[in-house]
Order: sequence, then structure tokens, then C-alpha cells
Amino acid sequence: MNDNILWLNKLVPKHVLLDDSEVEEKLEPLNVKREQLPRILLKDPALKALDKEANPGDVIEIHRVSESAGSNLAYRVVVEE
Amino acid sequence: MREMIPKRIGKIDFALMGPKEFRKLSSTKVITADTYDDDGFPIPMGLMDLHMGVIEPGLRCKTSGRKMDEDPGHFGHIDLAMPVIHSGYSKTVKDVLNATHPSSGRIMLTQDRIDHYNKQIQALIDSDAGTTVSIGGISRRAVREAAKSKTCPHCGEEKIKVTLDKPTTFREEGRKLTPKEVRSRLEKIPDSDLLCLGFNPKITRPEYMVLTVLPVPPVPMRPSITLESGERSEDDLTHKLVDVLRINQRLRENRDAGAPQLIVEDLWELLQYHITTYFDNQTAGIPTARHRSGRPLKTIVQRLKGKEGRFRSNLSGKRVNFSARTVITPDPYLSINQVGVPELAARELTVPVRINIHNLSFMRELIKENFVPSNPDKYIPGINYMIRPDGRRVKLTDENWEFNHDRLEPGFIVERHLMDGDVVLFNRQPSLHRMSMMAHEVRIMKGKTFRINLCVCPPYNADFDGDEMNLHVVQSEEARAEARILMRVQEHIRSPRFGGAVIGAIHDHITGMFLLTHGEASYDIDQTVRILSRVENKKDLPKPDYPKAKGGPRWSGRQIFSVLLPDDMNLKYNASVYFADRTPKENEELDMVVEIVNGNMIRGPVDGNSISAFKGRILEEISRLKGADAARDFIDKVTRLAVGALMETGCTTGIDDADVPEDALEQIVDAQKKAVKKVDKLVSDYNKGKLKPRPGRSVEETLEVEIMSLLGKVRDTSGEIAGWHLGMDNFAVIMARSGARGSMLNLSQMAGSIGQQAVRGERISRGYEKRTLSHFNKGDLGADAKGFVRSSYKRGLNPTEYFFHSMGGREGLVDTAVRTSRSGYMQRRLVNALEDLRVKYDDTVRNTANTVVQFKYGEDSIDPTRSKFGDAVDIDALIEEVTSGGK
Repeated sequence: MNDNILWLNKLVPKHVLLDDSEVEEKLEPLNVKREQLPRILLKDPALKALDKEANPGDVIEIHRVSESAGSNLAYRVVVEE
Repeated sequence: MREMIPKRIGKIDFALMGPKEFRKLSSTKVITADTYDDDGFPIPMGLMDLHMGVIEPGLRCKTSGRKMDEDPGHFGHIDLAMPVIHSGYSKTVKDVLNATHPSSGRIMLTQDRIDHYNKQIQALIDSDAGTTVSIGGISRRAVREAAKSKTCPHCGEEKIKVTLDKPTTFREEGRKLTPKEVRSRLEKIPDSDLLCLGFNPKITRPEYMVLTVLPVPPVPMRPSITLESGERSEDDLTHKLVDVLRINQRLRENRDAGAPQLIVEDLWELLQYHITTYFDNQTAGIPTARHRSGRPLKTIVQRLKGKEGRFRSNLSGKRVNFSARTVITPDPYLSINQVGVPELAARELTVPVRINIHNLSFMRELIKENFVPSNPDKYIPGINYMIRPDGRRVKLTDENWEFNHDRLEPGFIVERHLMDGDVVLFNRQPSLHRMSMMAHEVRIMKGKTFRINLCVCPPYNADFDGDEMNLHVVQSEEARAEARILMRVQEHIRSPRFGGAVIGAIHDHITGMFLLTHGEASYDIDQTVRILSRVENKKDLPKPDYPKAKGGPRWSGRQIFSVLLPDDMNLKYNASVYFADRTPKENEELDMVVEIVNGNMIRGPVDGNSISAFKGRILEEISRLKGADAARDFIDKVTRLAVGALMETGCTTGIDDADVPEDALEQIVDAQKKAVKKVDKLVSDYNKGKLKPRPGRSVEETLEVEIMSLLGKVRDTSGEIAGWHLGMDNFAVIMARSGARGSMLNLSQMAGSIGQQAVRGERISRGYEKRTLSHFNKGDLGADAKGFVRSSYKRGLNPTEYFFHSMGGREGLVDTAVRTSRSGYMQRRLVNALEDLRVKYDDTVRNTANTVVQFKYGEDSIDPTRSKFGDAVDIDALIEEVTSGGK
């Protein structure tokens, strides 16, 4: 995470851009294919604040704080529109 | 029936239909207003022509050759002698007439503007994103702009405004336009101008809004019925079509014979009236067409519109068989998973039973019972129909039952009446959560109402002021198994909403258990056995707590209750009656703390905090740790025990339960006077400008807040004063403190003082100028003038108090009314959005497209019904168990 002002907001969870090998490694045990993932828009401010530039088709890992489970990982696939 | 094979629909165009298509669709032209000839045979080219379908058995449709019931029928058509406005489009016609010029037929916009609008609409069509609404929006703007211009940019002539006399008369400066003129004006509009008027010129034309051909609906859509007297009675639509045909015929004859213009016009208008009412018999501005009997005719719009219309009644509304509905009444001796079904209903509802070698003789017996009852007073299920292995249904009658009784063998299916133990679904609307529809076991009973246990009232939100409920008999073995496993009442004791019990003891059960177990309550052997006889108890009677009491050994209520507890239960918690303002030690001495050791209750009363839904600890523990069946059993037994205890002690409340001694009343009045004085002081401070505002508030707000808190306090103190004099010997207090019904606030309002009334959370301030009522001075900010009610319900309110109290009460009513409708619609939207989400076997939540909505159900994969108020593990209990060394 860089020092973008966006990440200072406690309501913005941590976003991580996964590379292809990681994607496979993370999605395989979940039994989820890339096209079955929830989406995130390319123009989403959180993607613009990432270190690397995200491209359509990339997978983002989101580290959310969960009321019921403490912490929770979610995955989203980047789409243009 | 090859034609019945469904076809895939590739595309649908919604558009105006034109005369060409009407004729193409038509199976026959209708020219005579007659229906049947003297032999009762349909007249060719009449309204019942066989080309349009058949409604009599034996005849065949002349278009498709099919028989009645196979043939949905075919449209016919009537050629109208003169054109007629379609009343449903008269407004559109007016708009189009005003947007175009009669001589050039062009839309009154410059070519630039036309191109501009055309481009916008075309872009929407091409992008495929345009809904009819957005296209309509653009064309409406174009029409409005065109209607504004006074001269036509194409021919340069001036335009006269056309007005519409509803429903179908067009006027130009007072002169009537005939439908013929209207039609010819519409015909003149070139295709190139149609797009920005909102028409798709490839499919439709504006002149289609003026009818020259009227389609005649198929005969099966308007069947005639034969009365008992042999007389034929025609459908309302046929009646209307007869009218149309008659006038059409007369109009044609008169016109062709060169009759005076006046007569032709009259007939023309009459034809217009008949066609308008044929579409909609409730058109504003014209009289409704009536049947000979004076009944208004039900024409096309009336068939479709409203609650009884085709859409809401026939398409959205579904009815089911094997169901019953009647009033519900309570029965505390039923188990919570039973339902009492009246014999009358049970004899109508059936369950299909497949005969096998095990049930053969029983079913034979039932057939026999049906016709030769062995005991007419006893309900024994009967069998009225059987289905042979070849699929034929046989009705059992007095004549054939013996024969069928003998030939019944495995493979047959019989339709048996409902009997004890059958699984049925029981439901009360509105069905807002899954507990609104649960599976019950049937108990056949005398009487005409459904009987339910009182503990299932909260999940159904039912009471007995005339509520009715529905019952559905489950028909297949699979459905029965599913209902048994997933839907029975005990499986719903714990709510998925918050992980606690929603079904538990209520009202009298709690009072009863409290009376049984509080303080030193004890019972002699007769009472003990009488109370315990109400539950099935396999344990021995415990050793009496007071063996040496006067008049024989006595058992404490706690001992009697402990019979229901599992042996391994250990609990300690505060009872409902716990005094929050005293130390735990004091409470323990006052018997306000419950302690259970190894299934024996050693102290404390059983009250709301032990056995009620939502907060009953014992119920919570049993339902979570011992399972649904144990919880059901516990609820059944606790409630019976409570009723038994109530029968020994009795419980009654009346107005004298709100009695407080004279000096207590004086104290209350004193406290109120003091508070009101303080309020007056605050008000005078405020008037003098001496009041200091609180942080973040204006002076006015500060005044209000201070007064509210002052008057709130005095209500509390008067409640306390009243409370001191209302002790635990008072049944109203027992009910309130044990959590059965009512609260100490209710009681203090009855005995002490009602307190400040509020509208929108503020003291009452509406009414006349600067005052609430004319009883007060303008600008009076004192307690009495702003809705403080000093009186109690028992003493009665004075007129101004009564008025303020009504204002507060009205707000409550309005709030609930508004809330129910709003939350109902909110729930509907939520359900529609979430209804197809499923938790899959890998714990992901997915929709029907199999895309993920949640990677882990609830992010923790915990079934809330199995949790303790949302937590997967009851940590406190585990720690307690470990640290106590497994004691």
C-alpha cells in the first residue's frame, strides 16, 4: 500500500492487485472462475490509488473488516464498464 | 394436437395494428347482427360464425377443423361504413393533429429540427439501450415544439388549433371535425416525419388510430351460455358487437340512399358511441352502456382492469386445491407442532395413499367405515375415490363400495380423508418471514375452527380476534418428508434473524410459572400431584423440600419445575424481576437471581428471563444444546405446568390493582407541583433572557430540553411513588415484573401520572397562534399549556389533558399505518432482489448465473439459527465450564 490519501480513510479496505499465478492459487480452492467473480470498475478510485496500474481482467483482492468474522477476503475482477 | 407445440418467440413488436393486418388476421367478415338460426345453428357471417371457433361440443371449427376445447378460436372483422376514432388514442390523435399542418401534412418544424430529433431517436434505437419511455420523451418534446409554432415552415400557412372534447370529438374553432377528416389529415403525414412524432413508419401509421375495420374477437372469448329454460344468453361483448353491427348497417343504408346529412351524422355518432363503449364502458364523459336489466355491460377494459380483472385476478392470483381456511382459536393442550382441524374440513381434504401389503387391510377398513360407520360419534377418516393402477378414478358409492373394497390391492391409490398425524402446512398472511408458514401435525377435532397452541402466535403474529389461517395438505411423500424435516414448528423455534428462540412461553404461562416458583411457594401432596399430572413425567416425585410442614410434606414450586430440566443443566442468571438499582447480593437475598445446579433449581423464580421467547435463558439453553425436539417438549410441558399452577393459585387483575393510598397521591401531586414550579422558573429565566444555552443548542432548544427532562423525571418519581405502594401481592405488578404482560410504566401511568405528551418528539406546540388551545394565554410555555398530563388513567384526564393525549395517541396510529406500508414495500423489493440467491455446498453464496455474491456465507459460514445470538460459540459458558472444573 502506498501513502495515497485514500487509504487513510478507515472505510476504504485494503486492495491488492494479484498477478496471474496468485489468481490461480487463490481462486482454485474457492472453486470460482474469473468470470464468476463480482466486478469492480476500472475507474474505481481504489484502483487508481494502487501502486501498479490495473487492467481489465485483473483480479483484486480486498481485505475487508467483517462484523461477523473479524476479517474477510473478497475478490473482484476488473472491468471497463 | 401438433399445433399445440410451443414455438420459440424471437422478437415482439408492440405497435398499432392497421386495417390491412386486421383483414389478414380475420377468418371471416361479419355482416349480420344475428347469432343463431331457428335450429340453434350459427349463422354464416354472423357473430357466432363457425370460422371464429366453436363453443358447442360436436361441431368443428371451419378454419382449423378442431373441436371445442382444442380450438382457441380465430378473429373475424367488421368493415365499418364510416371511420371511427379509437377512443384510447384520442389524446395522441390530438397531439399529432396539432403538431402537423393540415394542408402540407408536414410536422411544423424546420427540416433542421426534424433531422435533429430523428437523429436522437435513431441513435437510441441503434444503441439498443432506448426504452420506449426515453424515445417517447424525445418525441413528446418534438411534438410540443411543433405545436407551439403558429405557421407551418413548409407551406407557410397559418395553423388553427384543434381541441379535443373528450372522449372522441375534435373541434377546429368550434367546428366539428369528422373522423373521416381526421383520418385524411393523418394519412397525409409523410413517412419521413413519423419518426419524430414517435411512430415507427416501417410498422405503423398514425391513421391506424382511426378505425375503418373492427376486429371481432373469437367466439370462445365470448361464449354464449344456455340457461336452464333453454334460452340462450349472450356474452356482454357479443351484445356490444350486435349493437355495432346494427348501427353500422343502418349507417351504410342511409348513406347509400343519400339520406339527409343530419341523420347520417347522428348514426355516425351512435356508431362512435358503441365502439367507444365496446372498448371501455367506463369512458369519462359518455353514459355507460347497459344491459336490458340495467346492469352495466362488462366490455374489454372492464375484463382486464382492477382487482377482479384478468391480470390481478387470473394471471397474478393463483388458487390451490387441498387447502382450507377458517378462524383460529386457542387450545393450550395441543403441542406447539399440532393444529386442530375441524371434522368438516378433514372430510373434504384428502391425502393420496398408495396401497401396499401393510396398509391394505387398514384402507379396506376405512372404505367400510365410510359406508357402514361403526361409531357415528367418532371421527374415522373415509375414502371417497380410488385410482386403479390403469389410472382410472373410481368414485365409491353405496352401490359399488363392497365390490371395490374387495378388489382393492397393492398398486391402487386411494384418496383418504385427513387423519391424526398427517403433515400439513399452516400459514397466516402476511407471510413476512419463514416462520409464517410452518408444518404442523393434524389433530382432528369437533367444532369449526382451527386450534393452535398459544406459543406459536408470535411467529404467525396471530391473535384470536377473528384471525383466519390457511392450511395446505401436503400431497406427495417427498413433500411430506421435506415438510417434516425442514418446516415443522420445532425446527423454527430458533430464529435465523438473531439466533435466539422466537417461540416460547407467553402471557399466562409466565405468570403461572412465576406464581409456581417464586419465593417460598410450596404445595402439599395433592396440589403437587395435580400440577405434575398435567405433564408426562417419568421421574419419581422428588423428596419434599419441607417434609415436616404442618399438614403433611410440602414440595417447593422450584422442585416441581425442576422435573422438566435436563440433569446436566447448570445456569446462573438474573430473573426479570431483578432490581437493577440494588447490589447483586441484595438481589440474591430477595430471590431475584436464578441458579440451577445439575438440573435442580436451587433459587430464584421462573419468569420471562427463563422461559419466554427472545430472552428465556433456560429455553435458549435447551433449544441450542438439546435440539429442536427437546425444546418443543420443554415448551409444551412448561406451558401445561404453568396452566396447572395457575389453577391452584389463580390470578386476576382489576382497577383496584392501580389503587394507591391517599398520602401517596399527595406525594405525587407535591412532586408534580415542584416540577411545574421549576418549569415556570425556567420559563421566566428564558423570558428575562437569563437562560444560558447548552453547547450546540439555541436558547429555545435548551429550554425545551430542560423542561422535557424535568417533566420526564417527575413522571418517573410519581411512578416510583406509586410503585412503592404496589407490591408483589398485586397481580398487575406480578405480570409486569415477571415479564408476562405490561410494564411498570403502564402501571405508573394508571396509578400515578401519565406524563408529558409528545408529537414528533417535542412537547405539543401546534394549534392556534402562539398557543395550543384557547384555554391558555398566548406564549404560555408552561407545563400544562404544552401537553403535560398530571392525571393518571385511573383518576381521569381533564379536557385539555384529554385533547393533548389524543394528539399523542393519533401520532402513534399514523406512524404504525405509515410504517407498515413503507416497510412492506421495502421488504417486497428486498425479496425480489435476493430471491434467487443460494448458499451452495462450498459455502459460497451465488445467484442463478452462478456468479459469486459472497465468498463465504455471512463471511463466517455460520448458520444463525444454530448460533448463540450470532456467535458461533458460547465462549462465556465454555470458560465457566472449564474454570469450574467441570462441576
